[in-house]
Amino acid sequence: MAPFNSTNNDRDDSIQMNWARVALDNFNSDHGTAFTIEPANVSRETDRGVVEATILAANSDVVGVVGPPTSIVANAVGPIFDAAGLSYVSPSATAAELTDGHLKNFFRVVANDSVQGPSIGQFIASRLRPKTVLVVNDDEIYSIALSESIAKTLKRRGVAVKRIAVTVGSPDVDAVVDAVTDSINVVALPLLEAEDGQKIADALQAAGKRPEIIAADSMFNLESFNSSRAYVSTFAPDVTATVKGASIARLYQQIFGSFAPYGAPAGVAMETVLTAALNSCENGSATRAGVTRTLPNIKLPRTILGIPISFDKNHDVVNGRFLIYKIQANAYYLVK
Amino acid sequence: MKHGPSSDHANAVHGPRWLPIVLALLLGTAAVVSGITAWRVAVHLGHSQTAFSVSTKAFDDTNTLGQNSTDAANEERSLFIAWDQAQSGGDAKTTENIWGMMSIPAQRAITWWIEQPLANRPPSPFSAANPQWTTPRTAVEARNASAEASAVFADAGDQLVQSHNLELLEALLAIALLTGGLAALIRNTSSQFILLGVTVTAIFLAVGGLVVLW
Repeated sequence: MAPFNSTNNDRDDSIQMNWARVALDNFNSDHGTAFTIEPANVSRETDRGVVEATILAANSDVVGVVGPPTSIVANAVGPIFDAAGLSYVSPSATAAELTDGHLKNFFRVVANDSVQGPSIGQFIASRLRPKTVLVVNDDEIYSIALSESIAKTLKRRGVAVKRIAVTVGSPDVDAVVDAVTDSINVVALPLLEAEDGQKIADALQAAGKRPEIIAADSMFNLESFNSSRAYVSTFAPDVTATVKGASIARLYQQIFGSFAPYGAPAGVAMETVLTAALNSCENGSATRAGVTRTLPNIKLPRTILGIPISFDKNHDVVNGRFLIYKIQANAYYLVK
Repeated sequence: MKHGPSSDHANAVHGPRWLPIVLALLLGTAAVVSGITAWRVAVHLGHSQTAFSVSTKAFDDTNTLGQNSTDAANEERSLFIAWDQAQSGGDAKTTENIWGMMSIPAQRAITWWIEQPLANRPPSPFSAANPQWTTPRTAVEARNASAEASAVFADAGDQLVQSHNLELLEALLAIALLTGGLAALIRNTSSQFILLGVTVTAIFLAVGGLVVLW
């Protein structure tokens, strides 16, 4: 379950699907298996997610799900998958409450926002020499929860915090610009839509204001948010930094022409589901029950993310982390 | 009574009475170890040559696989564009002709794509979301073939290094044979013992090296 179709033809939504596909074909080649995919085109639309989840749940050939890509969809479709006995491993849904136990079969291979919030807050406090930090959130639950976590961390570190809320999709950029006074030298943008963050960054620049900007993981997309010198938090490391990852990256580029190193968690999520399916195979067939039984104890010692994959009792990845990159000259540079 | 010169005494090994036996044993051991070492050199050299040949063929096959994969990807896209244009233009004959020129996997990929509802249809049949699109798998296989070829090539290199190292041991054994022979001829006892020491050391090093480099 990942996006692969965009009404905006300039945007490539298919990065997660591409990475998942590379992982699938690689796994089949390495293990002599014949797993295949049943694609479901879903990004942030909960209605669409429910429709696709219902289709997948009714298809008895589907033994596991890679996805959903977003927290809001995970919350909507989780009960459908749970009722169907399907386990679902997300490469990018980071809302902390997804692993509070209400979604029985939800797993994720990336750290959640309870890690991201403090990570961003601590980075601001220790590296950006903040006077006062303006934390901008929109009205989506992802943004609200993350902004609260960032603000809490900053206050604990003795940093003054100011808050402002905007509407997702149509942020009041003037209000944000006005809120950035001389005492504010850092603006945190844990927003759901990267384009909203770009509008705010552009407006600040146009107004001659130059605070340090730090964005959250949903804005990790240079095509949508590319404010020079801004920082962006992400759970996805540069996969080319590992030997295995560099090899897979070359394969990705060979197949798809372009290269997107930060979609690798989707490949790891696919590898996780496939490994559980293979390990639980009986008489040459994998089953939903087998995958669900096997996933909690799965251990991948080496992955292209540079960390081993295993799950804690809440189905969160063990030792998940967030990294901070800086945007310079249309590229990301690892800072922390 | 004088003890005149005797040809036996003139040819006898000077030194302790056990020296001739020890020298014989040492020189014999050196000769045997040298023979075994030479055999192992030949074995490793043979393996190396075989592996180089295999890796050359493997690299050729890899290049072919990779080229086939690239050609297939280019061809399927070109034919699809031409087919789509012919179909949109209502040219049924050309559409059918082009369809016939496509590979079976490309036809399957396009058929799957056509059958998808618009909301779930990728922008192109040759898309990761299409389970019938087989080009990624051929790219994976080309890459794996390349990795195997590289591994065989690396093994060939290792075998060659192994044979060179064993040849060094043969040089050590040659030294042992020389010093052992000299020990038999020299009259000075302390020099004999030094040469004996060198002989024994060279043989030990060679045997140890042979065990390690086997």
